[in-house]
Amino acid sequence: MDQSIETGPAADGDITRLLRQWSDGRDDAFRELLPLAYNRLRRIATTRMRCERPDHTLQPTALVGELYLRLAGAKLGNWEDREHFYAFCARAMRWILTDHARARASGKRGVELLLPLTEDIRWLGERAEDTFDLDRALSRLEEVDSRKTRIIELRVYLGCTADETARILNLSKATVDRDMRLACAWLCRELRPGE
Amino acid sequence: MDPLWQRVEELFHSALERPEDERESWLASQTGFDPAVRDEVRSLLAADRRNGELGARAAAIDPAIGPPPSSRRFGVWETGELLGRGGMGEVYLARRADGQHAQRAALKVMARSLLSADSMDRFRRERDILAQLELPNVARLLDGGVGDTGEPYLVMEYVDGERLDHYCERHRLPLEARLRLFLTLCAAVEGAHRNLILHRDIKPANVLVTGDGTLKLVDFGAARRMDTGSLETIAPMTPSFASPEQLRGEPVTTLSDVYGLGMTLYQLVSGTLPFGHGSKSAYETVQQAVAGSTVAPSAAPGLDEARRRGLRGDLDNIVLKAIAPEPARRYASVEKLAEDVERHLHRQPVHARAGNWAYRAERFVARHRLPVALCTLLVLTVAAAGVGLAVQSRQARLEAERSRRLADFLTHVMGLGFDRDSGPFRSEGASARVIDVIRYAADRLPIEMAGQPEMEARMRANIGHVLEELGDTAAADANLRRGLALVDARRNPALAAELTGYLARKSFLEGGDESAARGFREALRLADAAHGAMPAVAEGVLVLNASTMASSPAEAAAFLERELRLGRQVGEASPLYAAALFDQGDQTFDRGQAEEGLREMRRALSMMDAIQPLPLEDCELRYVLARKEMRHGNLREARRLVEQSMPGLERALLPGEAHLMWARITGLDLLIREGRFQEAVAPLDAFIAELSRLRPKDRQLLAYALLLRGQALCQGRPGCAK
Repeated sequence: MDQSIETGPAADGDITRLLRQWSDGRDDAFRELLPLAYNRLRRIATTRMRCERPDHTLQPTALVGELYLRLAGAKLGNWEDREHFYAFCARAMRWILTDHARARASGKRGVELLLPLTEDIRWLGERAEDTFDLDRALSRLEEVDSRKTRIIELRVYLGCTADETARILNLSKATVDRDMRLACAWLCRELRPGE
Repeated sequence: MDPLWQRVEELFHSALERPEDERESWLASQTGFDPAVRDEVRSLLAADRRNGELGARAAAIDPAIGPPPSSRRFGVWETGELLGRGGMGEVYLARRADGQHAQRAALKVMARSLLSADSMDRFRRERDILAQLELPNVARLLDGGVGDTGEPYLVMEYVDGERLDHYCERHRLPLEARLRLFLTLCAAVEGAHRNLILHRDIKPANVLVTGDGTLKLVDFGAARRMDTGSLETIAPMTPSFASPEQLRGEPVTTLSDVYGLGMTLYQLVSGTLPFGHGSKSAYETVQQAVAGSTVAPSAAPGLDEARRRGLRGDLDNIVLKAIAPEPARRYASVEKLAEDVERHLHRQPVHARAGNWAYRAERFVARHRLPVALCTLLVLTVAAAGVGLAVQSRQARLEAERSRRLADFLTHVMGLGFDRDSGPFRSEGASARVIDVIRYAADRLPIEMAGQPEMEARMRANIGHVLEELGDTAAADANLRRGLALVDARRNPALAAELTGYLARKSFLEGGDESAARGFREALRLADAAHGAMPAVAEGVLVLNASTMASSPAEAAAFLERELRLGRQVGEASPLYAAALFDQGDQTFDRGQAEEGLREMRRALSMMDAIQPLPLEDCELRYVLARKEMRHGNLREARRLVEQSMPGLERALLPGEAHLMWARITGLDLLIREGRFQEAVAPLDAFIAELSRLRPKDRQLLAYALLLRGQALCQGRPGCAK
């Protein structure tokens, strides 16, 4: 079933509304949004995760753009909503991948979903537990600095470039680069503590 | 944000601006900062350095980002002689350029022209899969990555061997030795299956035998893990060896590998293939594979009598069971297949029995649930209902009145057309005349409905659907598409759903299962978007038609529930409800409760009779029931029903219309089951000729007819599969 996108219950307006609520910080809106895009994102995740570099062939950002069009319809192509949608998809991917890693760890068989790597954190994904650990580390980072968490989510889970990330989060590229540098160091300390 | 964290950030970035070896002392000098902040920054700077180091290490061991080598170098590998070319690319002999090992390897490079996202993905998958696989008779994966020119490559254990079939022929291996080699191959495939890996392209060319007689399975180019879900089903494959489900693009399972093994065994023991060789087109190959009109290996051309004798019986049966067109008829696993070969070698009775033609025909047909057609009356009811909803303005009411009159007119005309005895068209090809009238109406629509695009679309839907049901596909298509172009799917999703549903049904009746399924999904989506604005009867027809794409009993049951609900909504004495009840019986039957299912269907048919719709529905239900009675062995009842339905169908429908053809083939199938083989041959030939002329896309029906024909020819002669 190629077109298994659950558009049923939510009308077009709902997606926009939920996206706005979520980006305004209402976390439960995420739970309502997730089912709308779950299947397609799961597919992107599995196809995506089989290739190990973000710069080859499959472009999740493009796939997400297409998904947005199909979910929300061209008539809602408000750029801002679209950007929110990317941020949402990155968070959803994080959720899906972590969930998958948890299922695998508990002995259920499944494809090994490797993290997409950005060139900034190439070592990420070398260990089986990285997916899981990254999620926990990001939750801790979120408490310290939620902006950096968002940046990491976009870059690691969706393979966005620094430019795309800057546009989506409405930041300058310099800020994204600086944030990324610190966040990477922070993550490295969390996931690869002083060996 | 925590102010301390802000200071950490500030200090971290300032430190980074200093040369690396000065950072520590610089940091120590920043006494204006809290020592805790400085400690944190120190720790983060160390982590930053570590991040860089780990990154560099990861890059170094990853051939994808290795330093650019010169000429034909891939990572640490240097290519030599070209070993072969395949669908996925080229295979070279290769060795390590760094001299670490003298090891020889086979390096497979994907052709650049094939660098689609899909094939790239497949290539990577092959690497990931093989990396996990360590089996004695499977070529090992040594390395893999993406070369500096962007071509992905795989490095595999080099097998200095010969294709399995060539090896057998060159050594003139006796049958028993061939079977032993085959058993080794089975063990290799079974091992892969135990690791949840399918090969999907098993054929003699992918099995190599080395000088010392060791067998190696190579080229998992089409391999896929079993647990990755149905991400894609189309894979590179070799048509002659690919299973029917692969050819149809359906999900592939271990049973597809059983099929590949069966075909390999066929070639090993008979030196040829049952079909797909010579000058035949890929299309013909597919037809034959799907139809399963397979020549037993012992009947293959060019065998000497001794070999024929060796194959006749058990081996014939084993091979035919392994390559049965329906997966369910094959060996349930590679192990079972191997077991039977083993039993044959030990002269024990094998589990495979001669393919039972009747059973196969039954299974074949069981898969094919033809929708209960409810064309004319329902369509016209829909027309009235749809118009009723659209009435708003005075002007619209006038238009509605006009279209209702048109609907009445059509009802009248069609009623006369179908009336068996008293219609004005009785003596001169009634259906053609009905069609003429409808075509005339369609031509007049732009004039009658000028300035009322929605009304015109409404009528196009009805007319298109009726044309389709009568078998005029081209005109139906034109009308439905014109209608769809006129309607704004967002403003009137109900009508768009209806039109889309009729188009999907058209695809379905033409034999285009995939496009039909796509269309039905879209129509159901639109119906949902209509939020109840779709008349129950129109939605009912849509759901009834769409239910044919159900791929599981659970899905079919869900459709049925919806059909029944909508049917009741329309009325317990409505044709829709009767049709839903009929469908219920159909499903009960398919669940294995044949008697109960037949009872339900008979009840629904008499209900339909009592409602007295136009005769066409009646005839269609009759032959569908006939098929079920036939499958249950009630040949006499089946014959009676077919004979009752044929005249009505022939009168109403154009030659080549799906229901008409299915009713006809039901009659021919009955001949076979009644043992009247001789009688069946000529009509079957005529049927097949007509089919390829009138319904060139209908592979399913053609396969069915070919199956019957094979049976008719075989049953008369000894030596054929019983």
